[in-house]
Amino acid sequence: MNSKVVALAVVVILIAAGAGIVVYNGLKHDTDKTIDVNLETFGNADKDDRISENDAVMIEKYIAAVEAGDSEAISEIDISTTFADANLDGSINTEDAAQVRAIVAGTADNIWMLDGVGNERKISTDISRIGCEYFSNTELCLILGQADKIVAVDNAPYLYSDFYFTESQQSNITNMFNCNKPDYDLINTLNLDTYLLFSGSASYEAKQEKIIDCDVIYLGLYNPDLTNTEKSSFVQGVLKAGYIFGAVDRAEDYINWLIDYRDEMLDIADSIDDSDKPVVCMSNYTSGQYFMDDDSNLISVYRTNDPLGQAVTLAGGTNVIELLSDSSFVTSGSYAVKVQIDSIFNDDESVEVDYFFLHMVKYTYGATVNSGVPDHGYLTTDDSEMAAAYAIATDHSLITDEKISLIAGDFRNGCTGGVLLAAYMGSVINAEAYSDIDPIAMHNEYVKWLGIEDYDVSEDGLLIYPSV
Amino acid sequence: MSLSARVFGEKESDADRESIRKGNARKIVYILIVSVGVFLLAAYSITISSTTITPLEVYETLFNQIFPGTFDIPSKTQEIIMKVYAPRVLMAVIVGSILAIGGCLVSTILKNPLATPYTLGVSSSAAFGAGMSIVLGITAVAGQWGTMINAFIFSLIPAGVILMATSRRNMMATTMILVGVSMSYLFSSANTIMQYFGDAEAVKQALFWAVGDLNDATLGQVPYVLVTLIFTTLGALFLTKDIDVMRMGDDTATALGVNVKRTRLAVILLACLSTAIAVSFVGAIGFICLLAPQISRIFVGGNIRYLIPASAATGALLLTIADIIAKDLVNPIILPVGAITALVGAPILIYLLLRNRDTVVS
Repeated sequence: MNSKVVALAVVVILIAAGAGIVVYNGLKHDTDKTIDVNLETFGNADKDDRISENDAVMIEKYIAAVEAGDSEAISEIDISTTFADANLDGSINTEDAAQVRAIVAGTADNIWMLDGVGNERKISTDISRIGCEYFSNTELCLILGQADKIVAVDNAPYLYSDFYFTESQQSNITNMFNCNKPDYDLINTLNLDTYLLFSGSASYEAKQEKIIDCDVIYLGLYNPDLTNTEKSSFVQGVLKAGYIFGAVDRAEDYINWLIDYRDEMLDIADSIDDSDKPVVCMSNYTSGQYFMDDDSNLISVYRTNDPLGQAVTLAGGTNVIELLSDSSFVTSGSYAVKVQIDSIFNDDESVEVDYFFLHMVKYTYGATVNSGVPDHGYLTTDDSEMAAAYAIATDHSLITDEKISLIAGDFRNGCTGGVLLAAYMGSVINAEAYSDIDPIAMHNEYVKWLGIEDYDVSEDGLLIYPSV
Repeated sequence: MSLSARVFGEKESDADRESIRKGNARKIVYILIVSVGVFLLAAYSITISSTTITPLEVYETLFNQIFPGTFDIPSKTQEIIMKVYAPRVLMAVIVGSILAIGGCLVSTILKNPLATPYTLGVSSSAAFGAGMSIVLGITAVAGQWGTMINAFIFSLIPAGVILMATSRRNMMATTMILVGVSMSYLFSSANTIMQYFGDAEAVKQALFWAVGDLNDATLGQVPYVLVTLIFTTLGALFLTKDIDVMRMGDDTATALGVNVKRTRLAVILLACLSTAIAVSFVGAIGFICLLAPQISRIFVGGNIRYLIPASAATGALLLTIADIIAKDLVNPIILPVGAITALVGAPILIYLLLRNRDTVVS
């Protein structure tokens, strides 16, 4: 055979194969990503997700090119001049390379980074006393092995002390009560080194000013993004915390664990035809809304940018909000809307909800306890209140054959960004497809991440009702 | 010299002059006593601490601010005192004064004891603006100042409406009050509707804002409210003479050369603007506008030259007392100070009104 023809055939085959791979990867949900954030920590010169020797080398190359006046070399170095300034002194020099190496070696005294609202912050790494607002920050510190350093939490996680902390650790924990309106006097007596904020808005500036000799940091955990976990501010926050607390590997391992589960579930979700995806309404069990108060005609529906709303996607469902028109929104918030009950319960076949998941918050950030919400969570085993609440939620004339589940506030306020909820939800709404995902096993793995031993979610806690 | 003597040049007897002198002395004594009371209570309030910081350390720290390095106080202690204790005490004194002066001016010029900037809609509109930021996330300015700027912008609306209305026609005092009350109800209703459909946590935040709170006051905010107080005081002093004459009635004042319409408008705008600024920083702390001028009137009468400083001192005193209660009553839980002002002030006012039945408070 003509060798030229053979060569041409080989080339064509190779090109076709290559094209096929490209097309296949484009069609397949790109779920095999690892962490893919541009870590907003100064010293991250190469715009990847970590600070490494490579950043120091890049900085040195850049310095050499600048000193030589070699503009071509400068342009070839794909450096972030913003984040290459590792000590944020306004110039890129050998001190920045030294700072990067110190960070890598775990010997840096301070780290500079952007906080969750994008403000530049200098943070000391000499940390022995940590104050945490709300569940997400508390659980993050536990994940990163900082349990012994937590000396203060606000009222909500304090009520979970028996779950989070050992007896000896509990004796060191002070209740800061309402961190929405904090007693700064009390907080300042605690001599905290680091104080983690729940929100970037509630008293952000006042807390920066009034909590003395302490790095007051908002990590950005409030905004997870399951659909783009790798790039989310949640992942940024966890990684930044890793650098602050000297637990980078642990932070990366945790994020990868989360992303792996997310990938697995997303693959399953993608394999389900859109027409076969059950319609899910992610709502609330709370006063002033239909499921708790029969007098109310309102139902909240979480948007797709909220972890609760995104869990629906991850669980292979269709979020009902995608089927509702904007004109049906009575109120429209950033993360959830409210609609009249007839927007959900009607004869419109295009909006037929198969499942309701009702989110509950018992212990609020404002140190209040929602009395109408049944007892639930990691320390509750008695399901009588949940059963009573379930009876109330399901006892509505408009509810016919829709299936209702009550879910714990921990799924939104904890440190899993809703991935854990998706596991539970998948086992409820797509039991067969998600048969390989064991939400209890996953949840117990999460509990182990918190450093808690001898705990079985299926026996020692109550986070979803009816149980899966 | 009495008002009519000053205005009409009437001759007074020695007995009259003596009586007036004694009366004025009593007024000055009242102002001085209340002012000293403010100082003493503020001096006590700034030392309230659940830490080991002693009152002496507090005073030495304050002294160090004027004469740096005089006393050797640990830097963290000084920071706590200047960043945690001092701002809320200073804000209580200054904001209390501003609210009281605003209430005094409006109630005097409109000749109605219930007329205050709050009655004219300043607090409801500010609360609505803040609510838009907190509940709906809609702000004129992004970032940390969003809620504050929102509150300020919306709190100017009632004054703006009154300004527009009076530019078209000569509006009677009663009409102005009705316009203000209507706007107050309008914004209150709008606020209620917005909160009715809002997220529970956000609504709670908005309600706390509306009640008013000094816990997040920072030292950086103090200059703004201090300038506002100075501006308000100077403006009030500038208008004192005309306001005093207007107490004799619009016709008399007009006959004596006072531009009644312009003066009334200037006073209302001054009061509403200063109140708007104060409210945007600390929320709609209630009742001081109404309470302080009325208490002051019982002791100093209606002469605006004494009533303004008396109201300012009384307002500062009431808010300082309320602040002490707010931070100490259920320690370590901090109560919103706006919830305390009416609890503290209303019984005082009722008692004084019942005790002084013959006192005219308008």
